[in-house]
Amino acid sequence: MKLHARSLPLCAALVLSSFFVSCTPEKARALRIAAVQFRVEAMKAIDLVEQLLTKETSPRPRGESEAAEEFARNILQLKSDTDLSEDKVDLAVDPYTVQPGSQQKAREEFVTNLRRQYSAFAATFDELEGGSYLARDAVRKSGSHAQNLTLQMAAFAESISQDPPQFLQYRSALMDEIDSVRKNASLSSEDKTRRLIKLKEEWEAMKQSERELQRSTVEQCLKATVIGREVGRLIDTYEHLSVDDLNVLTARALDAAGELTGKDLQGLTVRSADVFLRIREDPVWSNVADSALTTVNQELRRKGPDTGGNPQE
Amino acid sequence: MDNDAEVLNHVASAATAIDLKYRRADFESKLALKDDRDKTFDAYSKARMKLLEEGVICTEKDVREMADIRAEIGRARKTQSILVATGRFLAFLAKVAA
Repeated sequence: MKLHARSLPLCAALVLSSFFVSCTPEKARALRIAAVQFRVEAMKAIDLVEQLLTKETSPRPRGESEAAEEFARNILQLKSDTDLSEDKVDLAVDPYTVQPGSQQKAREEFVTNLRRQYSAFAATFDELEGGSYLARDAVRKSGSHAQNLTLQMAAFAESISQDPPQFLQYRSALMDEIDSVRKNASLSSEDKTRRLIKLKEEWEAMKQSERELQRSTVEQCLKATVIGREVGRLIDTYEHLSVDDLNVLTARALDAAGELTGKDLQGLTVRSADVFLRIREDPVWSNVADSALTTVNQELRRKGPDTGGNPQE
Repeated sequence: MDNDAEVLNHVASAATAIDLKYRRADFESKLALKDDRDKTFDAYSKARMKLLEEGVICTEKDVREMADIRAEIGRARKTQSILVATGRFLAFLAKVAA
């Protein structure tokens, strides 16, 4: 009887500690770090998406002397009976910057919401190490969010690889200059040729900048996708894998993301098109294959004029 | 090419055309053209945003759910720390009783 009384606290302690073995703080830490890495990569991707959205309608940079000469020319072109206002002077100083319209606000909301989503997801696991065992259900619930956020990054990669950025104002500014040189009767043939060669170089550099922004944005979105997939896998297997397994999975994700660095656009485009297929075939993702994945996939692959309409409908 | 991508390219052409007209105009004409030109660029941005928004599936409700899960994990941490402390206390008792 005395022996039984002595054994009881020890047995209770053993039972409690054995509960916590399956979901140790180390495993929780591996998951938390992977989620933070996912946020880091996604934030970089969102920064590039924002840069793309901004650059498409931004004016071509002008030198100080060019801007000053244009200001003088603008003011002198005003009719003598035109009232001068602050707005007109502002426009004479900078005629090309697009005035903030409804889309600037929409763009800011779009990227702010995205940043909030990925931050909220990573923050979910802030205290996981201290509750590694009892939070198993909560971890399981976070799986669908990891999947949705990963699919978003894959969708951005797909969208941008299909519809590359266009620096619209830069293009039209150069087209205007090329046309001006072409039609300028006061220039000699040699001067025209010299100026056109310079403009050709600038045109090619501009196109290269467009391609590089497309490439780097697709690359970064795919890196976030790769990390996000592994986070989804870590969540799915949180209760079953060993710490070593988790560390191997995390390292594998980082390696896979690293392999994307510097890939050319063609390679990234192939990878982007392939990513939905791989996700669909992955058993971990099967629970979203018929819902969110299908929705995104349909939107991205929607073809033909008869299938138009609001995707929200 | 899907509809939305067609819209994007169509608006891009329109924006380029009006911007070329704007750049070639004198300043008085620029004053008159500025609003229409800016609206066309705004329409392009809208078309680009629409393409990107098609991939967005995470909602406000999801963000609230993530906050709820975070709170649940916080509660689990507190409970687990109590249980661990209890376990240590019981182990201590067992050691003392032995």
